[in-house]
Amino acid sequence: MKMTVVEDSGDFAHLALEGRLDSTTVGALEVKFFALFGPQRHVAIIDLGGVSFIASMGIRILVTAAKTLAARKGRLVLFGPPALVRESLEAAGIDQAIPIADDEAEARRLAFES
Amino acid sequence: MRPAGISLLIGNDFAELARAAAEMRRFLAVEEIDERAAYAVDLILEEIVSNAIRHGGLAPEDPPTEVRLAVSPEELDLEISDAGPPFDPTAAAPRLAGPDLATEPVGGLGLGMVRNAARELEYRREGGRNVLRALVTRV
Repeated sequence: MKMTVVEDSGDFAHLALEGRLDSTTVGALEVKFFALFGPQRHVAIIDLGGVSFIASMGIRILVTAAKTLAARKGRLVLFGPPALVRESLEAAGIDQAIPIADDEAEARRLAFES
Repeated sequence: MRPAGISLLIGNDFAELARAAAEMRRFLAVEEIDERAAYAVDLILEEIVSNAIRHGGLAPEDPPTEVRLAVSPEELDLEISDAGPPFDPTAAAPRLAGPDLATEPVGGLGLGMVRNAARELEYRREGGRNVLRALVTRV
C-alpha cells in the first residue's frame, strides 16, 4: 500500500492510494493517513486508480475520513476506482455515503459544489 | 485431468492472513482464473478470516483456520473453517452504508461484500468449528 500527497493546500488535499487496502496494509497506513485530516482540512479528493483490492478494513478508513470532513461541513470525494474495486464499494453501499467520481475533474467539481 | 485445488492453514493473525492470501493469489494466477472470480475469492478469504480474528477473538494460539479451494471449469468452491465462537454469516443481516455520514458507523460492511462476491454461501457448525462454503462463478 502506498499513499501519495498530490496536493496539500491547507483546506484542500488531493491524495492517491495504490496497492491493496486490506486488514494488513491498513494498519500500516492509517496513522499517516489520518494525520492528513487535521482540523484545517475541509475538502479532500482521493484517487483510487491505483488500488488493486479493497476490503471492509480499507473502506473503514475512507468512511472515517469522510465523517471527519462532514462534521466540519466539508466533503470527501473518491475517484477513478478500477471496476472491481468500484463494485466492492457499491456492494457495501459506499457510493450512497461518499461520492465516487470517474475522474479528477469530476471529483473536484463534486468536492466544491455546495 | 485431476481437478486443481489448494489447501492452506492460517495461524490466526493478520500477518498469517496476508501470507495465505498471497499464496492463494499465486495459485489463482497459475490456474489462470479470471480476474473477477479471483478477486471474489480474495475478498471472501480476507473478510471471513479477518472477521474471525477481530470479532471472533481468534488468536495465534488457537487451532489454525483451514482453507480449501477446489477449481472446476464452471466455478470455484471455497471452504473456510475456523475455531471461533459460532457465527453464521449467512444468517446475519448485511449492512449497507447510508447517505447520512453523521450517523454512519465506520464498520460492519464486509458481510454485504461477501454476499455480493459469492454466488452461493452455505454455513454449518461442525466439530466446534464454523465452516463456510462459498461458490464463486467463473467467467
